[in-house]
Amino acid sequence: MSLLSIRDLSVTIAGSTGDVAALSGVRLDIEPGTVVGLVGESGGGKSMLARSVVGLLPHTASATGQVLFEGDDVLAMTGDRLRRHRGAGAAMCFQQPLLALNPVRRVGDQLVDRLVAHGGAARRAARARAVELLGQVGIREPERRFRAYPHEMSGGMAQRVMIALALACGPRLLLADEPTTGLDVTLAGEMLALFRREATENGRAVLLISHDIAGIAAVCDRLAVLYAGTLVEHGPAAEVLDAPRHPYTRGLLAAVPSLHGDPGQPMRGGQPMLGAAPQSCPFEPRCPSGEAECGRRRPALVEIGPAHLAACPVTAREEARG
Amino acid sequence: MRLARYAGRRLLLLLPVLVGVSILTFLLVRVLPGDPVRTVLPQSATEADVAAARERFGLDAPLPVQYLIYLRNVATGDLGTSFQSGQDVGVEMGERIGATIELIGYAMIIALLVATVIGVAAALRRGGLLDKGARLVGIAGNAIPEFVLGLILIIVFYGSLSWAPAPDGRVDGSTGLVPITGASTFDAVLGGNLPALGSALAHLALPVTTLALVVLAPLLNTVRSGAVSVMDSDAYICAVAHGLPRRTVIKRYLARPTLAGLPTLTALIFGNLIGGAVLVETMFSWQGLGQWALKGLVTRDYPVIQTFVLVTAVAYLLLFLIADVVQAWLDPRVKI
Repeated sequence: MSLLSIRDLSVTIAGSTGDVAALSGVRLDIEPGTVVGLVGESGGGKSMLARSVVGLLPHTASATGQVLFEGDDVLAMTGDRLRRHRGAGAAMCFQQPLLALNPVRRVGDQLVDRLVAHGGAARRAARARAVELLGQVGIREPERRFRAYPHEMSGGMAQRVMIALALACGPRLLLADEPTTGLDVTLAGEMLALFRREATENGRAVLLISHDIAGIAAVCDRLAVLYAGTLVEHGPAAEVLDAPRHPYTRGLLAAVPSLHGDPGQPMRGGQPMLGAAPQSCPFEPRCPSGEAECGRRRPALVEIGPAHLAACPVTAREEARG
Repeated sequence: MRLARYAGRRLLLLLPVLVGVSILTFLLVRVLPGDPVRTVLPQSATEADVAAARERFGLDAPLPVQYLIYLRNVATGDLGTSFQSGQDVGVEMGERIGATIELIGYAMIIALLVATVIGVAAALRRGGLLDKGARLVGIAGNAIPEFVLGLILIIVFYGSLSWAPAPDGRVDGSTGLVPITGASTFDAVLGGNLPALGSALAHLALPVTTLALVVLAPLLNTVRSGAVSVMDSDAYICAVAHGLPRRTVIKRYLARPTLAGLPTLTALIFGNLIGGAVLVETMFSWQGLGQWALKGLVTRDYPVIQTFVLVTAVAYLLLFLIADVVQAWLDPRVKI
C-alpha cells in the first residue's frame, strides 16, 4: 500500500463569479522514500492538491474522491485525528516562508512548539533538538539564530527555517510548495538536495511542487504533470524528462531556455479556468497535434509504458504503432 | 536598558509639550466669554468689589505677566487656588484623580479582557452565534449613550434587585475609610480596612460596568477584525497545518499577534475617559476628576481648568509612552 494514495480527487471552489474546478479526478500515489515532483503552470491546481493532503482546503471548496494516507481518508478526518495527521503525517513547507512564520515568536520557539506537539518531549529537551535541526538545514550559528525573529532573517534563511519547522513535526510525507522559488541557484540546489536526503536517508516521502520542471527534475524519482486540474502525465522522472509523452509536458520542456543560447519556445495560449470537470481534453485548444476526437471526449490517463501514464490518445496510438 | 533610555527621551519631550499646552489653555480660558469674578461675587457687588477680587485672583496684570507668574508657580509645584472654593487646586485634584483613575482603570481592564476573549472566540467561529452577538455589540455599543446604560443598571441592580448600593459615592461613610490615594480599593487595602474594601468594590460595580460596556464596542471590533485577519494569514494556517495543539495555536499564533494591534487604541480610549467619564461620575456621585473639571469650566475657574488640561495632557503622553513600550514588547518588529 502506498503511503499517500489520492483517488479520483475533485475539488470545486465556489466563487462570486461561479464555480471553479480546481482539480478534476486526480489519481496519484506516493511511496515512502521517494521524491515526486508535481509540476505545471500556476493555477493548475498544484497548491490545492497539497492543501487537500493536509486537510486544509478553503472553506469555499468542496471535494469528492479520497485522499488516503496510510489507508485513512484525510478528507474524512476530524478533530484530534486530523490534528495528528497534520504535521506528523504530512507536513507542508509553505510557499512564502517569511509570511508563514509567526512574526511575533522566536523561530526557536516555533520549532519547539512543533517538537513538543509531535514528539511529546518537554520544552527543555526539545530545545537542543531544535538547535540541531537548524544546523541540519544549513543555518550557521544555530544557537544564536534560535533566538531570532522571522523579520531578522533573509529569504533564504527563512526558507531553511521553514523546512526545519516541517521536519520538526517528524512527517512521513514532506510537502514543499515552490520550495526553490525566489532562491538563488546554489541555494535552490542545496534545498533540493536536502529534500532528496530526507527521502533517501530518512525514508520520508517527498512531494515537491513547482512550476519549474527542469529545476526540480534532477532530485525527483517521479514527475507528475498537472494541467487545468487534471493529471496529464505521470512517470519516472528521467523518462518524462527525456521522452515526454503528453504534448503539454513537451511544451513545458520546450519552453525551458537552454544554457547554449536557445531561448526556449513559449507555449501558445493559457490555461483555461474550468467551471466543471472537462468533458474534452483541456489542453486541446493549445495542442499542436490535436485531432477532432480530442474535442469530444476527455482522454483517460492510460499506461503507455512501465509505470508511465499519459492522458493523450494521439500519443497512445503512436505508442501502439511503435 | 534601551527601553529605559527610550522612556527617558520620551519623558523629556513632556516639557516642551506641557509648556505649549499651558500657553494654549491659559489663553483659551481667558478668551472664553464669562467673567470668573462675577460668579464668585454676590449680585450686589460694586465695581470696587470686582476690582478688588480681580486683583486678589491676579487677573489685573497684563496677560504675559500673568502667564509668567503662573509658570513660576507651577514650576514650584503650586498649581494655584480655586476661585470658587479657595482651596489649593493641586490638593483638590489629588483627591479626585485617584477616584477617576480607579474607575476607568478597572473598566478598561475588564473591557480589554472581555474584548480579547470574546473577540478571539468570535473569530474562531466566524458566522456563529457568538460572532453575530459580538458584531451586534460592536454596532449597538456605539449607539447606546452611557447615561442610558448607567440608568438601566441603576434601575435594575439598585432599584429592583437591591444588589448594588445606592449611587451615592465611592464608599460607605460608616466604614471610616481614610483616603490616601483617592482610589478606595487601594486605600482600603493600604489601611487594612476590610469592610471598606467590600463597600468600595460594591460601589464600583455599576459605574465600572457602565464604562466597560461603553468602551467594549471599539475594542471588540478591533480584536475581532484583527483576529480574523490573523486567521487568514499564512503564519496561522501554517501553525494549523503543522498540527499544533489548539491551545498553542490560539494562545501563541492567534491571540498574541492579534493583541499587538491593541495598545494604541487602548491608550486613546483610556485618555478619552479621563475627562469623558463625567456623565458616569455624575450619575454615581463619584466626585471624580471629570465632575470637578466640568464645574470649573462652568464657573470659569481658571486654575481648575488649566490644571485639568495639564493633567490630561500628561496622562495622554504617559499613556502613549506605555502603549508604545507594550507594543514593542508584543511585536518584536516594532523598533523603539
